[in-house]
Amino acid sequence: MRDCGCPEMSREQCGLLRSIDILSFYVVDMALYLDTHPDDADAQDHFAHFAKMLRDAKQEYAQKYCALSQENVSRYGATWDWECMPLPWEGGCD
Amino acid sequence: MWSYERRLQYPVNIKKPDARAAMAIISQYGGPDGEISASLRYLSQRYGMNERRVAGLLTDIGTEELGHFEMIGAIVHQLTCNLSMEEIEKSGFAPYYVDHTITLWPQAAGGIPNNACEYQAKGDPITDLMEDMAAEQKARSTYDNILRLIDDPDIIEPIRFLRQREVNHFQRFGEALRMVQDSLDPKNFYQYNPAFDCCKD
Repeated sequence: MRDCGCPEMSREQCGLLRSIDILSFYVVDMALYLDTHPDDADAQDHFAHFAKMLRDAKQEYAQKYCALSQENVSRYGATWDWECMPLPWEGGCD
Repeated sequence: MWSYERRLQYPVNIKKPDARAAMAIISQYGGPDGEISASLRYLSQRYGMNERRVAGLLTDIGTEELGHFEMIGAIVHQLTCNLSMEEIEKSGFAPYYVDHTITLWPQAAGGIPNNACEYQAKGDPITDLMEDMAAEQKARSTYDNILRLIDDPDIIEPIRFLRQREVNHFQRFGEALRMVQDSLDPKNFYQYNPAFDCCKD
C-alpha cells in the first residue's frame, strides 16, 4: 500500500468498495445501452436488479464504514465526515 | 444537478512514482482529446440536440467523463506525490513542478493549457455526433500511445479500462447518430441542421 498518510482501510472495507465499483459499473454501462435501446425489456429488468444490488451495497458500506455520498447520510443513518476514508484519488487498497 | 460520490469509477492504486509517465498521462486530464474536454463537449452539445434520448445519452456520457477526469487526476497524483527533489530534476518534471508544484493543472502533455478551441458544440445534431464519434477514437488513440510508453501494471490496468470506455462510447454515439438520422425529415436529403430548422417552424 502506498504511503499517503491517509486513513487506512481494512481488506474487508476494500472488498466491499470493490463490489460497489463493479455493481456501479454494470449500472452505468447498462444505462448507456438503455439510452439507445429503451425498448429492451430484458435489459430494463437487469438494470433494475443490479441498481437494487448497488443500492444495498452502498447501504451496507454506509452502515459499516461511512457514507459515500451526502444522500447516503440521511437515508442510512451514517455520518458525513471527510476523514473516515482516504480521498478517492489517494487509493488505499491493493 | 450532479451529486458526488467519493470513490473512483475504477480503482487506482499505484505504488511506484514515475514522473515521466505522469507527464504523458496528464494529456488525458487537460489535453485536446482528454477527459475534461470530452465532458464539456458532450454536456454543452445537449442544448442543441433535438432528439431527447440522444440529449440524455450526452448527459450520461458527459457525466461518466467527469469520473474519468478524476481517475486521470488520481493516476497523475499517485505518480507524482512521493517524488524526491532529485527525481523531479532528473525526470524532466521540473518545468511543471515550478508552476504547479505537485497538484493537477489541466494541460496537454506538451504543456499547452486546456482550451475550448479544441472541441466544438456546433448545434447541428448530425455534425455534433460525428465529432463525438471522432473524439472517442482520438481519445482511444491517445490511450494506445500511452500504453506503448508505460510498463507498470498498476498504471496499465486503469488506462486499459479507460481505453475500453472510449470504444464503448463510440458504439453508443454511432447508435445515437442512427436515431437522429431515422427521425429526419426524408426531404432533408443533405441532413442540414434539423434542430434549428425544427425550432424556426
